[in-house]
Amino acid sequence: MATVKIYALRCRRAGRWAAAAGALALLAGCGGGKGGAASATPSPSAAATSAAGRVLKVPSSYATIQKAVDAARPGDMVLIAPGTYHEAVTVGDEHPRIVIRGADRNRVILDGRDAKPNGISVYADGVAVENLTVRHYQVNGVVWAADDAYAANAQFVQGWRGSYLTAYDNGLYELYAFGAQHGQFDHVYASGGPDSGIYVGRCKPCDAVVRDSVAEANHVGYEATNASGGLTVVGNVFRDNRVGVQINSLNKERGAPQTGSLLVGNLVADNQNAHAPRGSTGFGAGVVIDGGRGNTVRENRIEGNEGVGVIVLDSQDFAAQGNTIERNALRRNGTDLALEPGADGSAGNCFRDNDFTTSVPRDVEARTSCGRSRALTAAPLKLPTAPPQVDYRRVPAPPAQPSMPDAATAPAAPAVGLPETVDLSHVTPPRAGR
Amino acid sequence: MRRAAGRQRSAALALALALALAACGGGGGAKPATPTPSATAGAAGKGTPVTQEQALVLAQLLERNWEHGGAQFNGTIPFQGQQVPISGSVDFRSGRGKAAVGAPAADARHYVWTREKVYAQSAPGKASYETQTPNPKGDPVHFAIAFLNLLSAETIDNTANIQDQDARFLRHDTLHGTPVDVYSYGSDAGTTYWVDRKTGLLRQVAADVATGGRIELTLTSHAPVKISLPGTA
Repeated sequence: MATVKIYALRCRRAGRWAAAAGALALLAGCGGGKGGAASATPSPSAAATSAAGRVLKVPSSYATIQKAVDAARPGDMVLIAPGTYHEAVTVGDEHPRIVIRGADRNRVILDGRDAKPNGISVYADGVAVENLTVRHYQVNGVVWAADDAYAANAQFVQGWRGSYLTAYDNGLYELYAFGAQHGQFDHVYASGGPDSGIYVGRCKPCDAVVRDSVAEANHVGYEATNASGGLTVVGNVFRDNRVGVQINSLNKERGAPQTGSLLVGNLVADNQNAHAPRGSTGFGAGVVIDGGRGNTVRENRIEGNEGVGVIVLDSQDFAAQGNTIERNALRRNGTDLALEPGADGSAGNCFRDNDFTTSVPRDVEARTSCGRSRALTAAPLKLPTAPPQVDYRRVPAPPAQPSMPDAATAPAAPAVGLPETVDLSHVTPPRAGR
Repeated sequence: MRRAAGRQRSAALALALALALAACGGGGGAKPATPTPSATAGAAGKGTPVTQEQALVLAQLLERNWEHGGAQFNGTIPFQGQQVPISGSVDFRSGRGKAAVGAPAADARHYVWTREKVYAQSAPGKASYETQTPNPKGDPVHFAIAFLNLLSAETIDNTANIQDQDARFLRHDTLHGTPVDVYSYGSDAGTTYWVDRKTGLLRQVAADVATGGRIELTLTSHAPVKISLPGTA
C-alpha cells in the first residue's frame, strides 16, 4: 500500500546536506504534497560531493551491482536499471559515502532466491540505498552493520540511509540498521519478515529517524532493541503484523538497557495477522515496551489490536522504567493501556492524557505518576494465543509502491548529515480509519 | 520480548540456561541412577572472530535442527560433581523428547517430556512414571531437557549480532570421522559448537555449567522422531 501522510509534520534541514540531498529529502520527507508543511533549507556543502560523484550504471557499464560498488568512490552513485538481479551485494568499508539507487523502485529487484544471506550488506559509513526492491534472502533484505573489525571494537557505522525501499519475504529482518548511528529510514515498505520489518538496534546514541514508512504482515512491524538516544519514529503505519511495535532491552545483545526513544504520530493498527510469519509467540499487541526506559509514546493512533494497545512491562533482565504514554488515541483494542508492574511498582512509568476506554490496572492514568514510583498491583494481561507458523517465503508480495521522485536525474546524496531534523510541534494523532 | 512479542535468541538462550545452572542445588527430584564419570570436551580456545560466512553457518544451525524435525543424542551432564551419561531422542518441533540417564543401561532412569511436563520413571526398571514440573534451575536432568529444547529455532538467527557477540571460529576438526568446524559463541566463550562442514548440521554442543562440569551432547540421525508419553503412576 502507498505511504500515506497521516499526520501533520514539519521538517527542517539539519543544514549539512547538499542542495541535491536537500531536494531529495524534501521529496522523501516532508514535501511531496501529502500534507505536512515542509521548510527545508538545504546547505550547499554536500552538493559539491554530489557534483563530483560519478554515475556507475548497471548493467550497461558494470555487469553486476557488486562490480559497480567495487569501483565506486565517495560521492559516486550506482544506478541500477530495471531488471531482476540475483546478487548478494556487499559494501565494504573501503567504499564509504556512496549511493545505490534503483531507476525504478518496483522494477529494480534484488532476488536472493532464498539461497543468499542478505540482499545488500553495508559495512561502510555514509551509504544510502534507495528506490529498489529486495526479496527472498535468507537473513536480511538490506542491512547496515559494523563489519568484523568494527564489531570486535564495538564501533558504529557512521551515517546510513534507506529511502523508498521495498523489502519482503526475507528470512529475519527486512530492513535493518544494527550498530549504526546518524541515519534514517524514510518511505520504506517492509512485509513478510518472520522477526521484524523495520529494525533499528544496538546503537547509543542512535541519532536516527524512521518516518513515512509502512510495515505490515511481519511478526513485529517496527522493532528497536537496545536502541537508545535520539531515535524518533514518526508518521509511520505499522499494521496487520502480529505485533505492531516493540521497544525493548535485551541482555543477550550489547547496549542494554534500551533508553530514550520517541514514537509519535504513527498509526498502529490491527496487529493480529495470523497470516504473518512468526519469530516467537507474541500476538495481538500494538505497542510493546519490554524493559525499555525513558521512552515516550505520544500522539499515535492505536486501534484494533485484539490483545492490547500499549503495554509496558519488564523484560527478563530489565525493569521498564520512566516511560511516558501520553495523548494517544486508542480505539477497539482488547485492552487499550496496560502496565504490568514489577518489583518497582509503577517504576516511574507515566500514562496521561490518553483518549482511551480500558486499562489494566483499571484507572491506570490515576494510578501512575510521571517520574515517581508508586505501589501498584495488577494481574498479568492475557494475550491471544499465537497462531501457527507461516512460511515467510509464501507471504504474498506487496503491491507496487511509490517510486522516488526524479530517480533518473536526482543527484546522489550520500548518507551524511543525517538524520534530518524533524519539527514535531505540530504532530497530532493520525486520523481514524485506514 | 518476554511475552507479548516473545523473542528468543536461541543460541544465546542456550548459554543463558547453561549459566542458569549456577542456581542448581545439585539435588532435585530427579535423581539419576549410578552417576558415572565421563570424559568431556576441553575448554574452548580463543580462535578468530567469525567471518560473515561463518556467522551465517551459526545463524542457520538451530533452524536446520528445526527443519530436520528431530535427532538422536548422547552425551553427559554434570550431576553432583560427576559426569553422568545421557542418551535419547528429541523432537525439535514439538518440544518432546525422551532420555535414559545413568549407566549401565539396566540402571538408567528414563524420562519423557513435553514443553509443559517431565515424566520421570519412578525408579530404574519400574513401569510407572511420576509427573514433574520443569525445574531447569534446580534439577540437572531438567536443565538438560531445557537445553535440548533450545537447540532449535523456527527462524534463522541474527548474523550481525552473532558477530557482535564475538563468536569465534576455533578450528577444523573431525568428530567420529565427520569433518567439522568448531566454534565458540556466547559470553566467556562458554558454549562450543561442532558443525558438520558438509551439511551444516549441529553434530555436538558443549557448554560450561557454572556449578562445575560441562554439558556435552552429540546429535546423530537428524530426522523426525515420534515421542509417546508414558502412563503415569
